[in-house]
Amino acid sequence: MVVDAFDTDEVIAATDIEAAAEDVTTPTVTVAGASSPSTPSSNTNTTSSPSITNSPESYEGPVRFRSIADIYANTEEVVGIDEEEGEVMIVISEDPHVIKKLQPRLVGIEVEQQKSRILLRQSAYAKKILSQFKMTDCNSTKHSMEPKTQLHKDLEGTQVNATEYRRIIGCLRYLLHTRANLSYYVGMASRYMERPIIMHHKKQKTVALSSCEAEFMAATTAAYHALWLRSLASELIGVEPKSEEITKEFEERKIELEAKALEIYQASDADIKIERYLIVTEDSMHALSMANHNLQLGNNTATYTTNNQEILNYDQLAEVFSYLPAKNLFRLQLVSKSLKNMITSDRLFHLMQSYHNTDAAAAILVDNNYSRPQLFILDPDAGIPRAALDILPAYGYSEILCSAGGLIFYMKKDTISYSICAYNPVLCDSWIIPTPSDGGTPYSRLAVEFMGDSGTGDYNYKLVYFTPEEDWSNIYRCRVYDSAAQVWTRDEMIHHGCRDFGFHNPVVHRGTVFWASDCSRYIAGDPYVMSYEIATGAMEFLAMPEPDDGAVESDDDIGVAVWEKSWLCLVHYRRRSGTFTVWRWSTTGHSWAKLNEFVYSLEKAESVGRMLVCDGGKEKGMVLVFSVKFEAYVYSFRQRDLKRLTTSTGSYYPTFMAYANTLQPASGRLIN
Amino acid sequence: MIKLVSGDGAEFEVEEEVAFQSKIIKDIVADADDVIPLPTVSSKVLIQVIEYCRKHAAVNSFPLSPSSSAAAAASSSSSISYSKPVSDPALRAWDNEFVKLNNSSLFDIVIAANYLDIEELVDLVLETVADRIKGKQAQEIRRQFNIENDFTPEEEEALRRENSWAFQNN
Repeated sequence: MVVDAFDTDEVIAATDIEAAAEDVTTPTVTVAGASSPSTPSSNTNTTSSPSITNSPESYEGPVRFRSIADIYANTEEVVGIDEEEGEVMIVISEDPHVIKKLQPRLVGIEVEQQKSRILLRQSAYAKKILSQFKMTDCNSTKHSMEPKTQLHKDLEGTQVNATEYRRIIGCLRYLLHTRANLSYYVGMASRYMERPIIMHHKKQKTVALSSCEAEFMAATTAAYHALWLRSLASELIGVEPKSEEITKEFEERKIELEAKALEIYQASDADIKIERYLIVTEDSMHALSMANHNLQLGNNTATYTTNNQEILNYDQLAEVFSYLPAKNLFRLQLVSKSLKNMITSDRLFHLMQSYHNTDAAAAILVDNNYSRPQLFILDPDAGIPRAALDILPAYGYSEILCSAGGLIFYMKKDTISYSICAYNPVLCDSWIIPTPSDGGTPYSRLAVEFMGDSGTGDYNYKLVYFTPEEDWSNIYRCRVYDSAAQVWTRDEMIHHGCRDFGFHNPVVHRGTVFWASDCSRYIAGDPYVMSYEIATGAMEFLAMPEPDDGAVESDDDIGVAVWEKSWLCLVHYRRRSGTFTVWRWSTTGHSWAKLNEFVYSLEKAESVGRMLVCDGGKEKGMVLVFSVKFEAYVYSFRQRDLKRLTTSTGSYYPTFMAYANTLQPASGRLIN
Repeated sequence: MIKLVSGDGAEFEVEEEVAFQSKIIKDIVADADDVIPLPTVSSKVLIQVIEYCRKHAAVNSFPLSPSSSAAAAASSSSSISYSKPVSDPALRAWDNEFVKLNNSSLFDIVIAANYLDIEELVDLVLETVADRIKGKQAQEIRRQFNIENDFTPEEEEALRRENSWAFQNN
């Protein structure tokens, strides 16, 4: 067994031991080996100490000798290799009066005192090694190892005894104290310590570009080392390591680390940016390759590659998916486990998806007086579970206030108290929003503004909540709720003008709530649009378009909308001509300009239910949803196409609310 | 003028404001005025990216119609609002034409745009890809993005049952 090992190239170093005494020709080798593990007090890091290779004669002044331990403790005093003997010598230039006898032999190292130097020799030890491993008769060589030797796994070779091999390496390492010139060869041979024919050391694979990256790499390495140490420990105490246990632990560890890596990667975005900036200021050309590196780093976290160079990394795939409606995503959970996790539990993904899905995927028909809400799908890939709306508290115990950002806000009535709740019909989850104790009054109105910060990934909302002070009063109490802080921030009285409050399908556009008053013939004064700026509480009344362009008459219907996410619009249904007209508000001109028109041909003048104009997605563009008697219709302004949604709305004047199909979670306390 | 060199060695001279659509180039050119090598971008892709940047640089540098610029000013005042910036309908139409490419070309563009840090272009392309996969089945998605199915048939069946509503037509 042992002989096998020596027959290979790896042990040429060993055969050189005897020859080395004559053949040392490189006295400039750093005498780092003089720091021995056998001397507990020694400096451990002597490789950094300067190597002095001057001949001893160049030292002037007195010389004294000290104990070997003392010498080792001051390894700067070890000065070189005797050129004739190939042995380490020590020269001490200090007071000559104190001279101590050195032990002639110190665990395998012979020590010889001469006039101005000490000689350390291991030739006896070297011979002992040779005899111990039955190599006394081997040939000597002048070259310790073939130049540029590359050691490879011998596929056909038999396994040598690893313990025996390690013992040889151990002996050779000790020999290095005086034969530092053999360091390289012994080092080469020691790479195969664990299993002699398997290369054991590992090159560093990646260069960390951020501290987070480094952290992850360190964690991985630590895990590997822990496993290795564990198997080593069990070998030492003679118990076979249970391989399954180790593998299992390793797998767990790996999963843990992968999760951490993802987390780190997500968190490290900022780091990477800062780092990139620093590099840019330092070396402009370098930045591009660096950015590319960062890109690859990101890709490393989870890369989906294809054979036809179609590559999207995890982040990009997440962004692609975030444009899809919730129902579509629930179906796509089947794609893979990592995507299922993203769809079901990645909060950042949920917020991004909510941000990208603001179009009306469906219209909710609400009639608080008569029946349960109904859902009319506008986007065939969107949807909610079948009975999702039935979960809402039964008639008389709830009132739907508003639908925004994929959440349905409703007033929940308990026996004694009222509370505002947010309900996501896709997740079938409800959250209670802390509601003022006197907040639950009939005819209360709610508008919601969603605000996001793409930097932090926050997607919070503000509720603007109006409650009438007393019946038939023109004074409403206005309160604003901040979902990020979970507090009500404003409480003030507003006067809403001479007409009825209206507030059907209010819109929030650039931080301001807009809604239209009623058009009833029983109230004097022209109808108007009102605005309430959420940040300041500033109010404004916008008059109707000029009569020349088509006056708003009694029993017409008006509403507000945001056109293509850009402009505030007035929607006017003129009963006399059966025409829907959309007017765009100009902030600078402070006037309305005609934007679009749809003639719903009617033989006799019909009144319509409360209209909804909203963004109906890419294909349909802006849509109008309205009802006539018990029928409901959707009209696409882009496609110029009218479709009937139902013939049984259940009520004459239902309200339609736009519903976006999102995974948006609300904040507050989760109920049911 | 800034000179960009593609991975295959072709040189492209572009105006500063065109190249500055890329945040990376903008950062670099702060103190260098010479050639910028883009080793990972092929000429074919670079031509497309430059075309996009040229169009967007032209539109962004000229004020829009008074009403939309006022709207843009309004939107910038509430800077934390998530509402998308007001964009020119003509530019949007141009964008829609621009992305009429096959998927692999789109992927090439998104990689280049990501590399050059042209956020708008990345978003445009990814949204286009999303439009194309909308409504497709899991299996088609796996094939398209070469994602391995790591569910067992039993797990897949369980998921399907759990979310049966999502697999039914409305």
